[in-house]
Amino acid sequence: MFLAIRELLHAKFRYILIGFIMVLITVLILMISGLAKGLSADNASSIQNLNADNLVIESGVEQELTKSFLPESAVRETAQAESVNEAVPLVIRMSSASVTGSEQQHDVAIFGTDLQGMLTPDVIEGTKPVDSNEVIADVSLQKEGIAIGDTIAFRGHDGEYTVTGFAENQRYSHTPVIYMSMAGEKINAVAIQTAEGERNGGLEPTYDILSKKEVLQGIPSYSQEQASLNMMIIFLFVIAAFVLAIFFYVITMQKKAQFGVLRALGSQTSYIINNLLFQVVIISIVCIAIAIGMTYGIKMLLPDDMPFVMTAGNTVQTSVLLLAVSLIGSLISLFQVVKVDPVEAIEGGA
Amino acid sequence: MTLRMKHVSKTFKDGPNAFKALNDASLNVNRGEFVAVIGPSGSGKSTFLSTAGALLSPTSGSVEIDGTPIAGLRDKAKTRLRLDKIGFVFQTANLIPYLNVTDQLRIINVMAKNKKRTGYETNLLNHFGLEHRTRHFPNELSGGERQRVAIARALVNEPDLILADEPTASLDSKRGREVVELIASEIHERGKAGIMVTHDERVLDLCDRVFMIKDGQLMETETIRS
Repeated sequence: MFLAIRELLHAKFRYILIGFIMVLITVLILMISGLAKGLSADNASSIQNLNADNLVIESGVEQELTKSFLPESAVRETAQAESVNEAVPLVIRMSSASVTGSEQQHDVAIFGTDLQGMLTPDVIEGTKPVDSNEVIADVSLQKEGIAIGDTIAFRGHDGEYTVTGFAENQRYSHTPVIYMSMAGEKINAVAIQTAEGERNGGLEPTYDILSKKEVLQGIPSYSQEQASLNMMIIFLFVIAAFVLAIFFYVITMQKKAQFGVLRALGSQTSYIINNLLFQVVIISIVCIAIAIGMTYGIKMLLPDDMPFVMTAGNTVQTSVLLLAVSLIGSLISLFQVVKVDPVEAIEGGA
Repeated sequence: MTLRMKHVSKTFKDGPNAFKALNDASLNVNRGEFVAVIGPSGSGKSTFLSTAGALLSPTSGSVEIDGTPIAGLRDKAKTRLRLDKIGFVFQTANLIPYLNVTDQLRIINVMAKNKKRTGYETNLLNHFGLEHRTRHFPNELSGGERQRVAIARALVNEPDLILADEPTASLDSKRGREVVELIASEIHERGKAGIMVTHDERVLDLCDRVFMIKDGQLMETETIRS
């Protein structure tokens, strides 16, 4: 890569300029995908982390969990199906909670289930509820001032409940989730754990059986939110590809005479192509690395309650995709290199 | 015999017409022999040089470089042949703008994957009086220096055949003559076969034989020196 490195060093300025644009685009991609991930978690981490394989809901409600209503007997009925290992009820109610003696209202999503069942999340602080008037809350409520041992009341619900523990990543529809026992109510769904490879577990067709992914799509605003952010990300990838493609195309056009000389002097086309690809890869890797560093820096400056999630897996995936997109973008330049005719080295000046 | 061209013709398609850029040209060049080819522009000089330099394949006739016929060679093999056997000196030096003087020579050996010639590059540059310019880039050199680097580059692969395309074109007559003297002395001392295409008649006395090309036909003019 003799030529590639020497040219990068010699024409620093133009490569720094293009690198700067690449860094900005990459930061934008990482920020938006972090935001998409963050919003997705904020909207539905409770469903994503739900300890169930599938959810059984009323048929014909277009995957919308909160539109589905089943009698409580559906739990028993479902549990009897052959390949269903465990079945527990799930009730979702949007409500607001207030600590006894305080006026402050906190928006919450109540997940009613059998707290001895599989859906009850592990606590990161406190203990799991024992009594039916004890609840687990999402840890984000702790930041809103609710502590373990507090008694809280819910609007539209009788009785007072005691918070015994906090769980992580339990949010639904951009509000914290509270898990509580609920008996004798109409339920929204039955969460089931099925034997491996079984989806419907031999259930009656009066029910719809949804995977967690399908349930996510049914959460109001979830798919719209994700779709618009994903569209931005896709556009940014396309823009990155085009910016690099055009840059290398123009530079390659400028260097055509030079490549003609190299070809006349005995350089194989593959040698020139390898040098060009090497430049694209080096520039992309350096820019992506800088962009990842910058995005981490920005993340530190963001307020804690901002829904922004940046995982290593997601970052690696984005980086690899960007690198691939850059290489695809350089293809049109490669066609120019292939077309270089060494005869031009002699005829060019004649 | 280093270069042997026998009844070489080269026809180009020019729209519906065929254009014969080279018409039945025959020429042999031996080691240590420096041949000039002169002719007006459009006479077929470039085509002649491209064909002799394995850049173009002849339409008919045969070209042999150091015993290797180029007619049947694929592009890749022709490229390799150029890298191993031919040294080019172009009209305007045509150095790579982002390589310093040493690297202009090194690139040839890098492409040839030949590590043995590392010392040879330095020797050549010293020989051409460029030792104080090794770290300079082409835009920092004078026209004569650039052309000297180009000649050194043409020699660094230890070729059998040296082809020069109007090496004096971008130089004044004094510098131009110095450059051709240099090429001639290298060819004679190192025992290379050399062809120079030029329309600068003032340097023809430095050549062993002179050919004239006109409308694609190559003819030997009366020998000027011998």
